[in-house]
Amino acid sequence: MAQLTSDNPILQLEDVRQRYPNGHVGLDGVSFDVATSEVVAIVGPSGCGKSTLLRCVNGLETIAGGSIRLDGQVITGPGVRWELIRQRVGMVFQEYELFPHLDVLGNLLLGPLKVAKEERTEATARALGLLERVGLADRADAWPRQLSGGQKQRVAIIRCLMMRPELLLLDEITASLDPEMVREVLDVVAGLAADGMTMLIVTHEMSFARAVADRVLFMDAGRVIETASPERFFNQPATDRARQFLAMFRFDGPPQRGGAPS
Amino acid sequence: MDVNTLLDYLPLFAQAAVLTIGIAAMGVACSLVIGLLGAIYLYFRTPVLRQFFAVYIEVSRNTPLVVQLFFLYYALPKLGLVLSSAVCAITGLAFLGGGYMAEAWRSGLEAVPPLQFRSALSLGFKPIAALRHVALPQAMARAAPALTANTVFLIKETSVVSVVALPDLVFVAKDLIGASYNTSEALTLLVLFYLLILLPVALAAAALERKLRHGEFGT
Amino acid sequence: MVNSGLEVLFEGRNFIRLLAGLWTSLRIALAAFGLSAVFGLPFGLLLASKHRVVKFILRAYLRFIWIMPQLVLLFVAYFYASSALGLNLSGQAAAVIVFTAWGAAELSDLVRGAVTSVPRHQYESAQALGLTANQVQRLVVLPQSARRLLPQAVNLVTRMIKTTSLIVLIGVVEVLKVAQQIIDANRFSHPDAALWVYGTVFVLYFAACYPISRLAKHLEKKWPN
Repeated sequence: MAQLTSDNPILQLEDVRQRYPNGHVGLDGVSFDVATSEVVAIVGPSGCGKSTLLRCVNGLETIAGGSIRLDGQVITGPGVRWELIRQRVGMVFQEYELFPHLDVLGNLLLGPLKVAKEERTEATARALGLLERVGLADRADAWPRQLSGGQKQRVAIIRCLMMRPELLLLDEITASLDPEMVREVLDVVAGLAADGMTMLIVTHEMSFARAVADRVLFMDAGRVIETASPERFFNQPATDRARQFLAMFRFDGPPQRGGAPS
Repeated sequence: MDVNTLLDYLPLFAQAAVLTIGIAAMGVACSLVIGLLGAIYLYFRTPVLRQFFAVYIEVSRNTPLVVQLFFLYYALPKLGLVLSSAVCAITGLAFLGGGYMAEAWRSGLEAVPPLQFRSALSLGFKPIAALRHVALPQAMARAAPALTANTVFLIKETSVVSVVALPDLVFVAKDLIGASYNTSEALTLLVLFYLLILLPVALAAAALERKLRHGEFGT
Repeated sequence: MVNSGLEVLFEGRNFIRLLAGLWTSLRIALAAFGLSAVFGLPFGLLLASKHRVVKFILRAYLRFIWIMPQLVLLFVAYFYASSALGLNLSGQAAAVIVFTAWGAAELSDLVRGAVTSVPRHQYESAQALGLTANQVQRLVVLPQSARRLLPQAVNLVTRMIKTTSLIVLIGVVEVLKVAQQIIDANRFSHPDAALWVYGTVFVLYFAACYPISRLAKHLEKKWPN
């Protein structure tokens, strides 16, 4: 699956540019394709534009130039009905964003019932199935504030799956979690990858990106600097900036001090 | 104080109380709706309407109801707009209350994290549906204490509607004081009837607030 | 005809009379607010204290004042004083008494809220520095509660001013009464005077209240809790 770029692209970005109201450039000409069932990890230093990129794909930011296509259809520009696009593109946020006024099942059913107008019994059955799958079968009636961070994030992921998205955007979904809970969330994502879910993942978990991604995009200053297979990117990064970036994740103990104590 | 006089006056006050309650209920209902609309336009930063409501809120909150009612009842007819006493009273209450309720709704909505709204959008909700199903239910819980306090405030403000010639509780009391000199009886009934109307509302408001303070969603 | 009602405002001393009427209301509001502060501050400190009986009585008083429309209180003071107590209370005096009773109740609740909002550990860490109880109050607690209290107290001034509009109903000659008199005097020569004169009263009240509520908002922003 690796290296597939344009055989069967579900998402195509072409020279996407974005600028914040304060003048800060978020994206400075980003182009790449994502194939169906491909998992693309986007890595890079903070402020490099990787989260902005995800938000553009979901219409939460307006792009200033270029185009984004979903399944061949241009989804940027005037007159786009984002509420229809967003049903096909799921997004999971760093802070889970479960709805605190609804219990777990209520969170899962809100989209299917109110947006997709599904049958309640059928949607409930599907919700319970997904809960079972992520190991939360007994928490359907729990309230968000009664859940641990890892449990919340698993619910947030399957809340997206309830909409049967064609593409899933994961924005730093483990960044707010205690270390011991990262694993349970990443296991769910790995399971989705194995099932062939197309995903665009922004992450700081390098070992996870390496394990689950088909391709790694390295971004800096609003541009894609390097695109490679995980093997290549993590073993022999092609650019200096990628090498510097990866070096930050390695800890070899304090630097050796030269000279003898006097 | 004479008990027989009290009993004689009772039906008069009961009738006036019905009027007071009716005007207050209509006024509160209208102001809740106006306030919600204003808060939504402010929330979505709808051009023009947002500025309109910002000015309206300041005007309604910085002028007294009595003056608003004088204007509606005595000045507007000079522009050819003649409103009945009851319509004047309800319009005045709605005008005053709309500003207060808009502020209450707005601060409730502002307390809901923006990402909640965005994550509803990302599920495919249209903005107005995201507001209705996700932002508003949370805003309502946060705004409830202010909304109920405003409700009590508006019911109290209803006491001035006699200036537009409505025979409410105050009107009846004043009438009896002027006509019969049974001042203590009239005043006693006036106070009692307002207690009767406002005490249950105030107690319900306090109970609601206690419930919301202790029971966030899911405890 | 379009301007005729407007002319009334500038005929003779009409506009000055309106302003004088507004001043009557403002004077009552300011006097009542000043007296409210005198009573409200100690009441508020008592409410924040541990005196159970005092607190109970104060709270009952507060609840009653809070729940009664100010107009009803005004009626009780004005009419009851003359009929039952034989006092011949002027409308203005009744207004100052009632608005003080109301203002003191509101203010004492604000003071209580401001004092109790200072977190426990602020007292403790101040004591831990070796400050005396007196110093803790003066240097740590009061400055913090003042910042919370002041915007709300300023807000109470605008509410007080708006509430003075009620006194026309007990026969005090204030801005609305003057407006009525002007309109009556000109009802044949300028039949549409009501529009302009009441419109002016509306604007005058707004002009009196708006700057003060802006100040309250400004203070609230400057000292966020």
